[in-house]
This record gives sequence, C-alpha cells and structure tokens, in this order.
Amino acid sequence: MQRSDLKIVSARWLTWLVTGLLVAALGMAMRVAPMEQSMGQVQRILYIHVSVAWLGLMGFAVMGVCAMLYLLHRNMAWNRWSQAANEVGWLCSSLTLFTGSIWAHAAWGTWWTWDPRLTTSLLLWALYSSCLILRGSIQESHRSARITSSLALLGLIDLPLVIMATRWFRGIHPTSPEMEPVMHFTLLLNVIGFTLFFSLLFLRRLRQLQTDNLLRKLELEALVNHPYPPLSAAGG
Amino acid sequence: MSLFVITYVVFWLAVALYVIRLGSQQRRLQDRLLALQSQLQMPER
Repeated sequence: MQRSDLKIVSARWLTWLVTGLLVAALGMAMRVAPMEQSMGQVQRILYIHVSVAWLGLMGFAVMGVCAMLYLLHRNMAWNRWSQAANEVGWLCSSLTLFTGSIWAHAAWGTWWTWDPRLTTSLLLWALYSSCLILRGSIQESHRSARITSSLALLGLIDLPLVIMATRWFRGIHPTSPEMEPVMHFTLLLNVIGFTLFFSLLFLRRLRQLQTDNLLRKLELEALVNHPYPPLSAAGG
Repeated sequence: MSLFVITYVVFWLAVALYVIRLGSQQRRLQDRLLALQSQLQMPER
C-alpha cells in the first residue's frame, strides 16, 4: 500500500470514528444521561455548551500562539493556521453564547445577564469577530496578517479571565456543578467527540488555505509564462 | 417541541452550514485547479 493510499484509508477511518463518537455522544446526552431534577430536559444543553465553550477557548489559544509565531518569523504559513483557528473558533464561540443563553433562560429566567463569565465570553466572541472582519477587509496580505495577529495576541489576555471568571469575580455562573457519574461520562464523551470533529474541520480549512496559496502562486506563474488564457476562460 | 430539542437542531444547522461552506470552497478550489491545468496545456494543443 502506498503512502497516499494509507492517508486516504486513515482519513476515512478517522471520519467514521468521529461520526460514531458523535452519534454515541448525542444518544447519551438525549437518552441515557438522567434528567436533572430542578431544570428538567433543558439541562441536557450543558453537554454541547461545555464542549463548544472549551473549543472556543482552545481555538483562541491556537490563534494567539500562531499569531505570535507569525509576528516573530513573518511567515504567512502561521497566518493561515491562525485564520483556520479563527474561523472554527468563531463558530464555537458563537454556539457557546447561543446555547448558554438558552440555558440561562431556563436556569435564571433571563436570556442575558452581565455576569463576569458571560461578559468575558462575549468579549472573546467580539475579538474573534473583529479578527475575522479585519482579515476580510484588508487587501494587502502581510498588513492584514500583522494587524489581526496583534489583535489576537492582545486578545490572549481575555483567556485566563474567561477561565477564572467564576473564581476571581462574584457571579451567578456555576463553577463545577455536581453530577452523577453517567452525566460526567456523557460530558466527557461529548467533549472528546466535538474536539475531534472540530479538529477535522480545522484541518480541512487549513488544507484549503494552503491549496489556495499554492494556486495563487501557480496562477501568477502561468500568467507570466502563458499570458494568453484559453478561449473558454476568456468567455469566447 | 421542547427548548432543548430546538437548541440541538439549531446547533447542528449552524454546524451543517459551515460544513456546506467548506464544501463550496473546496469546489471553487478544484475549478481553479482545472482552469490552471487547461491554461498550462494550451500551447501544446
């Protein structure tokens, strides 16, 4: 078996493994895990909320470290890593706020409150969004990378604030609620399943950005060496 | 329908939208690759 064949087979196995894990996690969260007495069925949101919240934090950490490496070496490869983490992390951060808001409505009777954990999480989402907007709005690639990397690096300050918000400041967000062993196992399964799933999405996006960069170089080269495009591409 | 089911449905819809976006970007890259290949092969025709 050749190396490329091995890669395809292992990628296929990994996809099936992640799908199986996610199906098992979903089944555990919706059917097997016992219903919490005070909140009822809505408490089951916790399993996806904690998973995407953790991934939102991890995504920003990856983005921040890659941004730092870009600023140190001025290598655009690190900016592509940072961009892929930016996109997937933004999705996770948005889903954290959405699922958290539904959970808050059931637990506290309000969709939003300026609790320290919620506020710092909103700030994290705003930082993710700002980086995404800046990437899309600045044409010159190194200037765009420099500005977004600086912002991502600055935004790293918010990470410990989000993690420690429930301990450092007084708020209503639960720190680590007591759970039955089955609920703990369900949460763990969800966290592992979603971590693998979003890692696959991150790698796919990274591969696309790398291919896009390579194609840009080849297109420029082709334009210099073969200045006349084919009739079909010219619209003839 | 209970609130938690709606949350799960919206959650997976958002994830599906991102996966669809990745798929369309993949197709665009493949189209560019094909266009480049045909451009490079042109002088030989």
